[in-house]
Amino acid sequence: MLTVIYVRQFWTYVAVMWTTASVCAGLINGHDFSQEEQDWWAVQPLRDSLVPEAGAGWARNEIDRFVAARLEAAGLDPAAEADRYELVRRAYFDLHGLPPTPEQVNNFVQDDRPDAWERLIDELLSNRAYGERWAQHWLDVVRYAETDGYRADAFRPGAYRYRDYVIDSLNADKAYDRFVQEQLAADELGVVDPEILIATAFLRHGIYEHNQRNARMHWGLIMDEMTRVTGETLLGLGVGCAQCHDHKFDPILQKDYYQLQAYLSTTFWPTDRKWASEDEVRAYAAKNSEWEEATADIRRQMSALLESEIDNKISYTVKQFPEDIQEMYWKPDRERSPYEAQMAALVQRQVDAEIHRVKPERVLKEHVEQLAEYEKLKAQLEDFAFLKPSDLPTALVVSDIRATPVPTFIASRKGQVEVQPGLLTLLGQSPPVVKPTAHTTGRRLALAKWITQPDNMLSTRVMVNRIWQHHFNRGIVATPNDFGTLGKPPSHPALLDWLARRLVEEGWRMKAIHRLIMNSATYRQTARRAAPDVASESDPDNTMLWRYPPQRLSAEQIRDAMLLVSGQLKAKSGGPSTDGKTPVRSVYVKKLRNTPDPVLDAFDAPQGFDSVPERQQTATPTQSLLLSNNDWPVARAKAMAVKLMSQEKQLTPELINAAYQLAFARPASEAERLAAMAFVRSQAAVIENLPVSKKDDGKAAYVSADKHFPALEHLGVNTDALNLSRTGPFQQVDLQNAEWLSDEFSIQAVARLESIYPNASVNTLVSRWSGSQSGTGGWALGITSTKSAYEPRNFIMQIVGEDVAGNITYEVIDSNIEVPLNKPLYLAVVVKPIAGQKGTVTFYVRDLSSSSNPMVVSVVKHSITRNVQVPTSRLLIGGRDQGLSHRWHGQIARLSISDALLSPDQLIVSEPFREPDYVFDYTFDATAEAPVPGGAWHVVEKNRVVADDVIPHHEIEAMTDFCHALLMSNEFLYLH
Amino acid sequence: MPCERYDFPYSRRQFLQRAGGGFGAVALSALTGERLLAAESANPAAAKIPHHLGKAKNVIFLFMEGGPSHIDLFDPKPLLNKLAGQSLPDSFERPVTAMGEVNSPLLASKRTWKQHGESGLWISDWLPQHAHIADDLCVIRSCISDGINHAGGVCQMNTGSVFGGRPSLGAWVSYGLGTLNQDMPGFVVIKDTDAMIVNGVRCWGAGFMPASYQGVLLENGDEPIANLRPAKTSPEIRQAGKLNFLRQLNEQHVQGREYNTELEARIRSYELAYRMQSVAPEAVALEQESESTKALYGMEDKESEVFGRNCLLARRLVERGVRFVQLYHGAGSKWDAHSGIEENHAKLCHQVDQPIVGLIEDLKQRGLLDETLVIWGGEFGRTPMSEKGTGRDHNPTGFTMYMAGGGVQGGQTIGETDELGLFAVSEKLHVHDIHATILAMLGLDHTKVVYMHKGRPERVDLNEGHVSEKIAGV
Repeated sequence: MLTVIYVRQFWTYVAVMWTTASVCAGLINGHDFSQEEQDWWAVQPLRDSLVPEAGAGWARNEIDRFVAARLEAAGLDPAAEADRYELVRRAYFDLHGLPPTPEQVNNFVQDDRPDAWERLIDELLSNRAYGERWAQHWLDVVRYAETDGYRADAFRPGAYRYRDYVIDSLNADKAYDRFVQEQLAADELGVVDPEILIATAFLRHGIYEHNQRNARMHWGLIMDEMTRVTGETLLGLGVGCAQCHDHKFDPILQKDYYQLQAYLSTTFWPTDRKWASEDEVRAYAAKNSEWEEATADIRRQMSALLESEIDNKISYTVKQFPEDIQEMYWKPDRERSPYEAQMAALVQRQVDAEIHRVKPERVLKEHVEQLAEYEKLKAQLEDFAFLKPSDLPTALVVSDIRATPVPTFIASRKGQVEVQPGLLTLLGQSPPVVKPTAHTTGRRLALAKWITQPDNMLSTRVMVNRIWQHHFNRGIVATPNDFGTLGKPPSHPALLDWLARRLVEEGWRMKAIHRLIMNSATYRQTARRAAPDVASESDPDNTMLWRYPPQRLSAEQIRDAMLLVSGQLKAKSGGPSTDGKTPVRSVYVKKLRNTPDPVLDAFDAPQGFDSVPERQQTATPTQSLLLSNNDWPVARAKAMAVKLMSQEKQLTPELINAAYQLAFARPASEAERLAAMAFVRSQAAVIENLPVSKKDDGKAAYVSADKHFPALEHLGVNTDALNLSRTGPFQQVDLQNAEWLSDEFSIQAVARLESIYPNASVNTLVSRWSGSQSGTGGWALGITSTKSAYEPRNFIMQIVGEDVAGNITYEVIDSNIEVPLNKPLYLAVVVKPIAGQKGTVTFYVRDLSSSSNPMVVSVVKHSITRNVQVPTSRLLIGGRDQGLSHRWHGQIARLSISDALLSPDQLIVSEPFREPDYVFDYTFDATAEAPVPGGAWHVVEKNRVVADDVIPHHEIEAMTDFCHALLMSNEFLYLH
Repeated sequence: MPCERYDFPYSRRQFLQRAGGGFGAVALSALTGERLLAAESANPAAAKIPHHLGKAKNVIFLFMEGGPSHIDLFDPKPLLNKLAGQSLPDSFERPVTAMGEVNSPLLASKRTWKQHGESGLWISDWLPQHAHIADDLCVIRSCISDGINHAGGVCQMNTGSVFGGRPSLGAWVSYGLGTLNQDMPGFVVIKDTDAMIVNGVRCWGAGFMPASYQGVLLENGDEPIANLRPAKTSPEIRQAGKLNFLRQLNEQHVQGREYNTELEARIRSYELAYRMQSVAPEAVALEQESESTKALYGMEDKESEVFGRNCLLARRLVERGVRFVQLYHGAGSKWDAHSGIEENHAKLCHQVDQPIVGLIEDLKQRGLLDETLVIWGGEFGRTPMSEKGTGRDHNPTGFTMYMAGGGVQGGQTIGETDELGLFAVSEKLHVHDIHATILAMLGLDHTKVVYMHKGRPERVDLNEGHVSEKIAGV
């Protein structure tokens, strides 16, 4: 009977069903809502939906019966079940965000147990990759990002811990009610575990302007943002509209907006909370007070020297604020109202930043004696460093500034009216009881408890709808953040309520809902179905689900899939974020609001300014340019080709098949194999015939080893040496197959330097660096020139990487070893990133012109901890990937790079022919096609990279083109 | 909601005929995210535009980043020099300023002022060449913004909001008007220095709209658009072979999936990208320009060469159908003269004076000025109060912008600031009004260019803007 109504007018049905449950027309909490407003579907109580009698012979579970009821009523039938290849690729991308490997495909395709599919779903849900994929959906909604989002866009070093909290919570199948309570009010729940307290960063991901002096306005914007995100994320209400006036379309009053805000109004963003357990904090305090006691006198003298400057800074900063705010700041804390304390905290943050910028060297520059005194004290203080415990990291959490609430006002023409915390007026419910805690108002917990009541019609529907949305690429309500009348009505209202109740019955466990959905026949339909005639007329958008909805992969899925099929994806389980060029999953890539990762940005990853409930899905020429021309996808294709070729060593149909299995999770057909073989062969011929000009310009690429490196065969030197010049075609060698190097590594070379620059350029032996001193990591090993600040002919290493605080730092580490010109040299470094106290670089230099010359060794400390290696940066011999300068002029007879910290007895001068785990070990032979295996001459002219003179291994290159085409293809980019 | 773009006419062929544009139109609809069939449209903007006939077809926005001093350029204040050295008189409301310079002594303007053109427009001696175009300019002295800092100010001038996350003006224009030349991006941004603009790439972002509307940064050097050139190891012949094979793969894949027009759109997007590889470098090939043209743009003067070049590029881009060109001058907040305003502004004004005049005269000569709206301004102006003795603080409560061409009524001054140039006092034009007016100049009704986002009908002006009829002449 229901179904008949469906056909006639779906909306009538919805209205009829709910009218019975709705309150009588009239005044609710003193406000007159129309009948239509009261009938708003989203605020009706969850119904106990009857599962329709439909879908006989097709339905696998209740979901299918709801779906079938609508399909049958519309005269539609469901699509056929997808084949196993389609299913397995869908399931992996859906739950893990990654394609299945060929083995995983095979395992499922050949599993003939009747419950093979159910087993697969269980297996996928229990893998860590599930949390890594599904966390992204939540991070989008809570506008997660790791920077402030304003001009300075300062990095938030601890923000990533929230990302890990979400991943871990999902993997542990944390109940959704608890998940919400922790994010709104972990502190008010009495939680002390820092890993849970970090959940409150939910209220802290909003943007922050480091130099905003209009403190009232600034805090107002922050509060409004917090209110909006809370309303959209947890309740599916676009409350932002009601900030300035009653919602124009939904029965949300302006008062309702401020009542919701009142739950949050006492929050603040502390800067002194530590990411540590209570025990750790206590231990730290105990140890620190020991240090403080021992150094009290020294520190008092030091601060006396800087006191006036710091006082100046404080008053200078405070004076920039409006006068009333200044007054609040100068008041003793106990006299401040809670709101005044919030204002003072905003000022304090700017004051602290200003004090932090005070550099004693600069302040005391003109007071030589005082500076000397300061330096002396500083040295004395250093002597007590052994007593000082390592600083505890700061936690990005939220709490209340007082236990007394900050009042919330509605401003109108008539003046301000204070509002108390409360719910939507329309609901007619009395607000939950608020119980203050010792330090907080208890308001956030009261809100969280109300949101997570089992009968909350908004939060339950909103969350099951989000889960449904990500399985089917569209929610039952297609506007997941807006259940209002400007959003879309639910396509399957009864199913939505049934699922919402099911979520609560399952103890709010989300994995149960995943299982239910994915095990349905609805989910298992094929996406490959043209619209039946009836659907073309009545449901062109497939809202009734007469097939599985085809979809483009998301930005993260595309990037992660490319890394996986190229064999380069490195495991990472939580921890600080990395640069987008590091081959780890995209959920671990730094989310910088003002400088988004170019690959992720191009494919519609949100920037984190606003709650984003669904992704855009664009197809633009910019994406096509990026896919076809950018180094990043090309490097993935190359790695994929190299990986494949290293198995087969030659072009075979099996290789084509293996590539198809990697990229498309299915075998290639006979016709596809033939077509691909034909392409690879013809492309190889094209590449082979590209102009080669190795010997032009009269400058030789090689020189006989005897000439400059006589009698050094015992060091593994081959017949020839590379002959590098600063001009001409043979300047640098690009090691194109650079494998992944870790931040711990060693470099050794047998080389000769003919001249140094007259300026301060560095004679670079080998590098993986663009020359940028910020943004991304890198390193270069070289020898200084005439005007260097580090003295000429000094053997140095330049490193860019993260310091302990997670800031990208540039350091020049100089060995202070002077290197002779025109001599055969042994040069080596062992690079150890920071561990414990300090990282080190150990330099080794020996003049090989006489066997009696000693080895000179120098160990130098530095402060870089990680992210030195940027895998997609070029690894170049003889220069840097930057312009025309910083070249090596001379010869290189052997170059070895090892992915390990070599001990002195592992160096080639001790053991030239042992087989340590070298990533590269090159010696040179002038008859070889390329300077080094997999490498090519790298020529830069006036900042322009011109085509390689030598393209080695045309078959690998042709295979690269084939793999590249696969990675750019629609079959790779879509689930369809 | 997901952009599941399936079009269901009676048959595919019928649809192509009905849509009028054939295959290209289908692909374009998917590329731009717009739906062609009105019945399916959730988007009121698709109802279509132009809403009335505005004269302008293109916009060139000359953005002086950092905030030029209106009271030293277009808005003379004799009282300021009289009160120089004193504090702001008590009769003035006290604004919140970025650096808290509310009570600092007033700083005299050292400019010599003259009226120019038949209209007698006031322009200071810092922009001597502007005298030639005085009658083309509509100077708005009563602009207002909400951003007291650069981040908020630049963000609002570009997107209407001091917060990030909204589409930029260029994106709204691309969305409202569509593109004239698919081989070029519709919205192009050029900076004069290597420094990044405040807030980075989101200044020309698409915010909550599809990425297809976002601006493209034109870079110096021979790769004007990011990723425009194939990898160095992949010369033309090799790339063509690869893309041809890709096409084979995609055509095979689309068999049996023809109903998903997005697949076709992506096939087309590779073709567009490939064409862009040859079209874009031609657009920026300034060697095609005569020496006298270059001189007109001030390219012979070392100081004004860079901005002259960018202005000339802007003209070439507009000629090639780029809808919205935004030139940043002083990228990296160079106009931000908190101290030493004399040296700072003298230098920067010289860098832009001749190039802008050259641009407007060249557009006029070529008959392009009527259809090209030129806008000049920064994110705010500067205070009459001094900072550090020789500079001025940020002033968002009253500042000057000007417009020319595109149907603007030239030779007029709109609005006033108070006697010290601190607050706008008459005919105030908030950034929202400026944006609404710019849309009107392009023939768009800003209340109808609506993008549905999270259930809310979003507009460029956050529902607050009004068109200045005096500027638009409507």
